[in-house]
Amino acid sequence: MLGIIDAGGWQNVVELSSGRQVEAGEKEYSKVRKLLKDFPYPGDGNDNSIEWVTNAAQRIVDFHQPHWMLLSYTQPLYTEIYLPENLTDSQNRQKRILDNILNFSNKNGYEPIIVMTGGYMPLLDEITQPSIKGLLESWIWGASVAGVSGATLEDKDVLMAHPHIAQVIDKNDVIAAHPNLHPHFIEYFPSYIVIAKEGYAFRGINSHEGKTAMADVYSKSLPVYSSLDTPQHTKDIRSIMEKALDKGKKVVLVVIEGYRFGNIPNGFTLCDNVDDWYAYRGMDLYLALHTGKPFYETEFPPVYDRSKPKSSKAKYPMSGFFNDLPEDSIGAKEGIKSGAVSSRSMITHMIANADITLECYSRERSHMGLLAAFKPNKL
Amino acid sequence: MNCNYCEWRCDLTKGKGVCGMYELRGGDIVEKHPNKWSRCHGVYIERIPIFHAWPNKRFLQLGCFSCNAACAYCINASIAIGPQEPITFTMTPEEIVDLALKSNYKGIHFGINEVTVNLPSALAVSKAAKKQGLIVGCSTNAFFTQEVAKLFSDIFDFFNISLKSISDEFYKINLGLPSAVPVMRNIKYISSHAHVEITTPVVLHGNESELPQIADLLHSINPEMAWHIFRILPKHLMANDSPPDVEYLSAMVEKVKEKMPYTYFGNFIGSNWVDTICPNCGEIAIERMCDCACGAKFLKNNTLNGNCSNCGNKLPIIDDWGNDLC
Repeated sequence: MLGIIDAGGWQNVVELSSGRQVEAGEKEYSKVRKLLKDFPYPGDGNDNSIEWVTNAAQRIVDFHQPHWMLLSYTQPLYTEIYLPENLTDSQNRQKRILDNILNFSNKNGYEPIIVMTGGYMPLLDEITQPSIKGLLESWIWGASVAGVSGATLEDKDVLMAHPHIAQVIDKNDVIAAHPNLHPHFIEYFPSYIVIAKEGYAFRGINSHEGKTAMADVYSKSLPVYSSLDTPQHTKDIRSIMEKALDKGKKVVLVVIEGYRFGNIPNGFTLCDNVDDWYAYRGMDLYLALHTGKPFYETEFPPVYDRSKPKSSKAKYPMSGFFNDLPEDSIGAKEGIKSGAVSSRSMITHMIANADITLECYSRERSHMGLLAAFKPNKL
Repeated sequence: MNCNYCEWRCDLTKGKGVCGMYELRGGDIVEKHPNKWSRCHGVYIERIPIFHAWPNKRFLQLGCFSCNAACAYCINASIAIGPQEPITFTMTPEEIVDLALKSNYKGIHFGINEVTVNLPSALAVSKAAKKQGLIVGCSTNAFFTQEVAKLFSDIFDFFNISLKSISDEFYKINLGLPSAVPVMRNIKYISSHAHVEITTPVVLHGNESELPQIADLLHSINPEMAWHIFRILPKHLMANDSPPDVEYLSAMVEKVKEKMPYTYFGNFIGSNWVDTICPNCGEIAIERMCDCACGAKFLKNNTLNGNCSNCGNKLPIIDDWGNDLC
């Protein structure tokens, strides 16, 4: 898979598996280059990024006519997690996204399946490093779950007694329950995963120093809209899309990250989102939607022990923890054309594994440019 | 009574000083927030950036808050400038060193904000770390006194010093600091005592024309020094400004490489100018990539224990060249 990086108009073509530059003339891959030039990302905190997703997706439809698309909108989460509650603004933002999706689907004949993730609610309090030997690690995008690495058995009792911690997941119990876990999953699973009670958020050593007003909710069910079959579980969505594609329908999977907990739009129903103890979120949720696999059949633990060095053999250096493209992703399905646009960095191009993916290149809300990942033989 | 940590030399009998991090207590200058940290996380050394020492090794990075400068384009303004004090947590030197050892970090690096504004805590951590055989270093604007330059040189193994300009006027207008002279003085002194790499952030229509003169200065100190030219993505007061043009700056980088062969150009995704190239034969000695702001990501070491695998040239890179280098 190739990538064209666009850093404010300057473009570079790289082989994504190695991260190294590929010699390419300025006229090569002109459709992709023009897509990047014509759709500069407005920024994580800018609501025009909603139309950025939709309009760029329309351009991909115009030149590639995908049978399947992923559209992922992250503005609500990025914007609202820092703000005190303003339900009207939040509802207006949500309506704006839904209108975009409706227009896009109707215009292009797509059957939409919409999943709303990253529910949040006003923050009650933060949970900082308890008096334990292990180290609490959390991050801003999903602070209701944290990892504790290098922990002792005694630490478990302290964590379980904490008034704002709802659940403590012991690595040994997970290994015992799932004997066929991938070695990478085991290697990077922390000693414990801790889950906060509703309204509480962890603040560990990897946390962003910024103050937040909202806490994400550990969502065991998610609001879903489907013009196709109604999924019972978020993992079912993959097979529903596949069935529709096999019947010659065109499908758009839409992920809207960030909704006010309990504020479910008309037409949406709650869909199960939990296996064992784990409520799908972030990368694992995207993987489940695209592959239909439960979290314990992937390489990726729900929370990483970040005190460990990354694998020295890691490929795809621009792609986080991924060492390879998931060939079983719906975006790589044989016999279809696929495309994706997302305001969520990095995850999209790897998980969608589509013919072409456009994503913003942001880290901690710092906007650095764009990445278009594509398979030259498919365009 | 004047603080002697940085070149502002604030009279603390008259107020809280520029950084606001010290106070007088019983006739002594003391830290107001000892052992308070806003950040504590692991980084690979290339991310700092340090390219010529301990390649691909992980360091525990610590940051406090506040600064003695006020850069108009600051990318860490919420920590360095305010207006609110960021959320911090308390960790003693022993707890920090224990964490670094437990997680197999090569050492500790003070970054995120200017280390001079929490100097006693940083020194306490550094001393505890050195006792355990850890490497210690910092990123700094080097606007500190000669006494502190000596203190730092005695304990820190490596420095990334930000030389933003050689012009006092640029320092006054863009950084709120009165002069570049102490910075240049300290670079000269520290370079003869520890490993030093220089970072020069370039702002649009700002300091790019100075790059040849900065190259002359650095060449006179150590022509083999690593020099990181950063294309700044302006934030804070310059948040609406565009970053400098890559094509234009890369042409300047190629020119200054004639004087400073180990010049790198980064702080933007996809940069082609972060590999270490053997100046003798042109072979790529260490491959890196820019996947993020700040430094880079290590990809591959092509050297033979620091010597160019093509021509045998000894490259100015410090390491124990152990087997953990992939």
